[in-house]
Amino acid sequence: MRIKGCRSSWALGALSLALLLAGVEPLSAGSYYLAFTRGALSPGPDEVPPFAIMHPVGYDGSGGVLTVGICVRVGSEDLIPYVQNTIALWNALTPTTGNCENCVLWEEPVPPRSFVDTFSVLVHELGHCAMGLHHINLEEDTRAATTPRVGSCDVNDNGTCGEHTSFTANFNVTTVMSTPNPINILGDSEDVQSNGCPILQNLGNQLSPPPLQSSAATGEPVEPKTACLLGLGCPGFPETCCPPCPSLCPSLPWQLGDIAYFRIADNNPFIVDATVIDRDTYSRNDMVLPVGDNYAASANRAVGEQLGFQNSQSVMYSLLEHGTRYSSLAADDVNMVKMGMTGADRDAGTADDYTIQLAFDSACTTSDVRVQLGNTHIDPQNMTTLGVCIASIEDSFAQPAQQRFHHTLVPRLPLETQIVVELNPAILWDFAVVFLSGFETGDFSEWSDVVPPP
Amino acid sequence: MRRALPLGLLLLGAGTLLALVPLSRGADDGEAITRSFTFSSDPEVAVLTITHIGGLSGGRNVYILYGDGRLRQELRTRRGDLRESSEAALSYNETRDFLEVAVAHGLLDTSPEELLAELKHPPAIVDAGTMVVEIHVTSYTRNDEEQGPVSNTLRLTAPRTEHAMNPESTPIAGMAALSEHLSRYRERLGQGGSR
Repeated sequence: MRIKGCRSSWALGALSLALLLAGVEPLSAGSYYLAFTRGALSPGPDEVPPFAIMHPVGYDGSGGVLTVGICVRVGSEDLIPYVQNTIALWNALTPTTGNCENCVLWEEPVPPRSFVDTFSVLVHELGHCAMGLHHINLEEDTRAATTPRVGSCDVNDNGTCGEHTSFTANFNVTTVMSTPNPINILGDSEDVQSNGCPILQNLGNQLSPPPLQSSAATGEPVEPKTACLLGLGCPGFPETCCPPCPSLCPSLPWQLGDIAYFRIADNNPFIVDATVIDRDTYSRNDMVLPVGDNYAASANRAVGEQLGFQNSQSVMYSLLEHGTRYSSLAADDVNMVKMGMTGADRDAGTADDYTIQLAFDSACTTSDVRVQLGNTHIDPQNMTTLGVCIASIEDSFAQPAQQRFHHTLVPRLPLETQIVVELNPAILWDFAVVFLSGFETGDFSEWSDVVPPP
Repeated sequence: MRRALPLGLLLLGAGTLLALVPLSRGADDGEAITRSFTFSSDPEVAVLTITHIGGLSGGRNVYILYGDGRLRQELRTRRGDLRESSEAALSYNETRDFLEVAVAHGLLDTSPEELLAELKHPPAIVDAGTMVVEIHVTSYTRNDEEQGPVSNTLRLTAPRTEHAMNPESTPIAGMAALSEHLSRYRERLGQGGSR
């Protein structure tokens, strides 16, 4: 089923033409922290290429043990057992299946109201702030009006721009085609993601700049945006296939950016096996996808069911509903972290490999990451945001301008001197249940229903 | 630095109120900007709507201020279904003051693209959700120039953090101030801990 946009057979011809013109190997596509928002920025020091890997705070390219200190701010002591359990979970890096109870996708109905699982939210937020991961799924780009791109950002064509979807993560995508086989599953390997203009929908993923042919030759990702060398403008395309941008259509369309990594052998984000994760087995270059696959499969629950894994989902899916609870990590979560741990050369088993050791600090004085309940960043009137991660990124070490593979999480100065995870005190967290279930009146009859800390 | 000057008011008749909001934009441009606006007093007309769309939850926390001063809070699911609601009654002065926060910060003069252009730092916050502000006035005058009825919709992710990172931006400060202004009515709305 086509979700939005159009596809034309002459796109294949255009691809061939583009490859001839470019004279290079075609190239393409969990994601890493800020890869979505930073990747869509205008070229400059703040922009990061889609292939960038975000490492935990303190990473400078060295091998060994990278220790990340995590504390809980005074006044938020209720969070301590949950933070400690989250630390243990990420330290173990154990891939599992069946890790998600009551997982709900964006396109599915809203479950009945219950409590929000503190542990699951912390696993997700520390997945951002401590491990350097981003969401596995595609978020419509609300900055479309100021981003030089082609087409509307309303990827799922429901009239609203800026929503989350279950498609695989990407940026600058305007068209996603998904096939019903036998039911339409968003984020599976059959999806085709592209820009709005048909001649670009393949080119966007395939072109690579001549200076980086060596990278293309090894099948490694290169910068696609800088490869838009054809100078093709929007007005030259059929309007129905190249809808006008919210503002003026740019004369030089940007390319979509693949940011989702996948296992080269099987494009299966749920497989738990002994495969060594590194540049030889794990890629975001869709030219090395298994035969028949169109795109990196996303580790959402529906794709898991399609592949034979029930109740399995990456903890980095961008929706956490009432009653949803993660008990452990999915393979995709672990693989993404392991890819980063291969170090600067992205080869496993070499001297620059590192391991991550999250450590709980009893005081926040020297901690790298601070966890808190509060309203420093979450508006007190905002009763819906569960938690946020506030961290910036910088180059891990000096790298060539167009090959900035490695970035390190850092505090967002001058706003914060530490990386911060903040949870919204307005949310009905599960740890607060006892105080709402008769604690003050002495009626403990409902206490047996309380979910204990994990 | 921006400062608000004393407010003048005129009651024009049933259904429409006039609020004069003179203010100075500050020393940087040295030119005082005078703004005035009227808003409907119709109990069915939403003159100001503030929606917080949750990041990781997708839920929607909607505050609707009607022309007669009725402030309605709605907690909705990501599909738009109503989970709970509450209401408070604001006086005329409170209703006018609420709108004045938006007008005085230039939110009727700022386009969505201009607001985004005010963000001078790269994104560095995730799961924060987005605040959407919708303003409707029946007339708007800026520096003696009548703009007619004006409606504007602005959206900003993490307004509180962005205000801290972009303190020089008046529109971003306006987005943060609007949400902050809501806290005055928290008790009247009977807000508890839930979503």
